[in-house]
Amino acid sequence: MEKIYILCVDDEPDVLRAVARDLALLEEAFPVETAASADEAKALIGRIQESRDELGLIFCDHVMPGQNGVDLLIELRGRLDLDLMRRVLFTGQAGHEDTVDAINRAGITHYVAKPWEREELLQVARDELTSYIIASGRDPLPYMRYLDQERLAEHVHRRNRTDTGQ
Amino acid sequence: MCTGETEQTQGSDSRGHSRARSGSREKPAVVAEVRRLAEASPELSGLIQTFEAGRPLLREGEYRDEVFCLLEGAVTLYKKAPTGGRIAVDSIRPGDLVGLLSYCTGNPNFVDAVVESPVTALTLSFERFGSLAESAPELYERLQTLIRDNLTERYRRMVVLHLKLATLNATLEKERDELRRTVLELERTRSRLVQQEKMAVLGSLVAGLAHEINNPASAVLRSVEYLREAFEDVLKQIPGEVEQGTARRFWESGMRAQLPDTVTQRSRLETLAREHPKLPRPLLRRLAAVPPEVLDLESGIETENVARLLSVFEAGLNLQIIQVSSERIRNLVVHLKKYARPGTQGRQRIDLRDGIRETLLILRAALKRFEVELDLPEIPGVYADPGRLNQVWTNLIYNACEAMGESGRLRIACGRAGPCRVFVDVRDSGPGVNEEIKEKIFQPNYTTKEQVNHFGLGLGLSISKDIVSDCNGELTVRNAPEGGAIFRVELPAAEGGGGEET
Repeated sequence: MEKIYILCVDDEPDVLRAVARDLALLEEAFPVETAASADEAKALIGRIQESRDELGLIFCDHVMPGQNGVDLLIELRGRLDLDLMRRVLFTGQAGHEDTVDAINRAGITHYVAKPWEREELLQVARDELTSYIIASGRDPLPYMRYLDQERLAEHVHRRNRTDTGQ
Repeated sequence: MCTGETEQTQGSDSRGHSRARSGSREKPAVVAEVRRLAEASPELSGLIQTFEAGRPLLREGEYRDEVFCLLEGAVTLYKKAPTGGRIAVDSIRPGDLVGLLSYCTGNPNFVDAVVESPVTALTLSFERFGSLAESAPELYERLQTLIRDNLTERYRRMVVLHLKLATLNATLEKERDELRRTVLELERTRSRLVQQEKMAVLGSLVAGLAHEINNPASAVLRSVEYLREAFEDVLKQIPGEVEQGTARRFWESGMRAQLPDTVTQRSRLETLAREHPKLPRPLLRRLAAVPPEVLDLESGIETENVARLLSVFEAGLNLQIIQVSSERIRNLVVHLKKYARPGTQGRQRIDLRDGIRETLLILRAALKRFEVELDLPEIPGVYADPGRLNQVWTNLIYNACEAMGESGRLRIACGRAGPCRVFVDVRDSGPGVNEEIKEKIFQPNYTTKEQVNHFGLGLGLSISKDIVSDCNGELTVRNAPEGGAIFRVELPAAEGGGGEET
């Protein structure tokens, strides 16, 4: 079964290390990858897709050398092969205009302000990945332990009903 | 009060009376003849009247059908001003007539006429004045002369008045220009003062804040030392010499290790995953932070031992990160204090490069999206107020960032500009400055930005220029041949300024 990756993009190694560590609880089901720049992130996405795996969620910092986070997210939003991917802006420094762009043009699904709490980050990741699993039409059962069981169960229930209805 | 005064006033009169006399018979002589003729006539002698000072002969807007021919004394004419009050418009002397205008037009009195100094006047009703030609032809002829003189004189005076008015207008215009310049200058000074005040307030705020941050940062640093000693004590208690040595190696490696970059980390993670397919990915990622040479030594050890040693390594690594980070905080605070400097410190001999470096450190976050290139060789020191010059660097660098937008290259260079001058160039890779703007760019309140700048300090190029000028320097802008703007600050080097500044 192809894997669903979580990708974290930030130019600060300390931040990447901490985020990866905070998400360790999910990693059994959703391997975490880290990238220090937008370019590295795009190369990584290419590699993930080459091995027929998927990218389910991206955590992206805004202020980085080279392409900034919001622009990266806008670019990725335009890609059909990533249309289900959940996009989280993860920053302490986005100005008003950047934030407006992030919502209107990059279509972010969540905004996490730095500094963050481990529980908050985990909760955001769980919610977003739950949405991803539901939207992707995958079988939710293998992910039940890690994600929002209530929402997944409701989804399974509704799907079964629709199936029998047809 | 006395008649002498009248004569004196008449004598010193500069309004053209004396000029009016030329071309006709002497005016006083004519007046004397009028008086003589009037006194000789039984009908007219009774009409020579005297009026004491302060008495009104005519009131503006009223009718009084009499004409006065002044023989002695003075009368002042007043006109109601549109702005309220009344202003003196003319002075009537012996030989002049009062009430002629109403006689000619039939309109009410045009002005107030008030006796200035005791007056003797031949007072004629309109009716009598109209029939003088028949009843007293000799007197009538004299009066004609006086009236003609009066008209010429008034015409001359009108011309002189017009000239005066034109001169006055020119002076007024000049004064208004000066006033306008003064107001601009005042506004400029005011904005400079406000700016200085803001910076002073910010300075003391920052100094206070820096102190507050410094204390906990120092406490953290001290605790790092204590924790390190405590941990080394704990390590000594591990039984077995080999085990203790291994643990120490992991600890020391953690204290020294640099976090690998994401690419290295990923390749290590992949290698480890191949070698230990059973280990969970989070553990593998943590192991990837351990330098391979430290791990290799222990390739034989079993899994739970690896986890334990990894904890020892991470204790060292985290302690190191705490230490480095709190040192960074302390360092930042030191620079922040230097940068903001409460109040002005006055001029001193300084190395320009210190201020540039401090400013770059403060603006680190804003500069993240740009390439920054420094070329700062040793240069002679200058005399300047370091806190105020930092405003210049901040403004120039910030300005360059604004010009470049999302990305670009910022280059800061310094050097000698002639035998006793030094320069600092701040160069961006933005669109450059076009000729039109070049003129305006240093004016107060000029901006190409629509939004208020992020600092909210109203830093402007005009203030920067003023600060540089105060140090007897110059701030100029030009375009680089390959694009982008170069702002140059040129300052006189401090006397005896070799390259020995530290």
